[in-house]
Amino acid sequence: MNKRGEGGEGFGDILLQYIGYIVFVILFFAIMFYFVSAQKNGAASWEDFYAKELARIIDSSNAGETFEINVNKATKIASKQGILASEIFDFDNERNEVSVRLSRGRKTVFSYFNEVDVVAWRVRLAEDGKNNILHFEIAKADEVVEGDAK
Amino acid sequence: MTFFRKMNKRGNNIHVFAFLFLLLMIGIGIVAGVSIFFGRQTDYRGIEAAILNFRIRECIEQNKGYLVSLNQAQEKDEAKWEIKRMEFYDKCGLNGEVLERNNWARIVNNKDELIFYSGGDFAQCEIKGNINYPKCVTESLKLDGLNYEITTTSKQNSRRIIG
Repeated sequence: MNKRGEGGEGFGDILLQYIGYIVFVILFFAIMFYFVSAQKNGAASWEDFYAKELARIIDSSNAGETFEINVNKATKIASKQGILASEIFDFDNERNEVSVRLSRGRKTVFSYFNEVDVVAWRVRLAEDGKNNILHFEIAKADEVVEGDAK
Repeated sequence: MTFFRKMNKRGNNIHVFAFLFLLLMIGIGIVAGVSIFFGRQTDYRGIEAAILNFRIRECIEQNKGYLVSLNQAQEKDEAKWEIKRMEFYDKCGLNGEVLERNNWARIVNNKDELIFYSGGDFAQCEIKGNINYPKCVTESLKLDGLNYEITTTSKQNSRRIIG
């Protein structure tokens, strides 16, 4: 009598044959999951958006003006990525560049042509977490401002 | 019997390639989809060119006499012209280094005299539909009976760097 499985391979054998495939599929989908979750908060596009908006504001500004911008979305993404609020924005007055960092190890940089200095910039976190503000002031280029702080 | 085993093994190898090909296709699909959805940049070039144009017009209006002395047609020496160009940036509160890298600017009057020029081939402004060409803005300004045409461009894109 030829019973089912008799003389053939058992479930264990078949599983062993396909174990390579299974491991490969799991690995592949793990990598894809990591890639998609790294992209899904849109850190790169938000970095781009904030860098360009800040450059636009600086290019249109005049010395003596003060700006307060709601940066809720940026602080939300940054906190998910483990980045401190004080590390998100940076203004390089030497190179006339604004940089925005919303993910670890990378940042987006954009230049502004207006010859001014951005001073006294800081991110002010609101208690309710809904109105986080980036504060900065525009000064004449190379003008030393008392209490210029990050 | 040995022949059938060999055939079976060859079949398995083909199976491996089909499997890898399938994964590769799925991978390319996911990466392309995600990149298209999240990878699009905000195009700021038109706005930047417009702001620069406004800044230059504002500067010219505030320094009327300066524009006459700037006339590039009168300056044949390239080195001297470069100094004048830098003076212009200084006078208008613009950062020359950034502008020379990312923007072009040109001022022409209605006598076809080239008053100011920095940058590259402005013929690219006429070509529409190619996203790689700079965005251009042209505005005119009437001053002391002369019409000035100011063209500014921007080709700056944000840079994502390690840091």
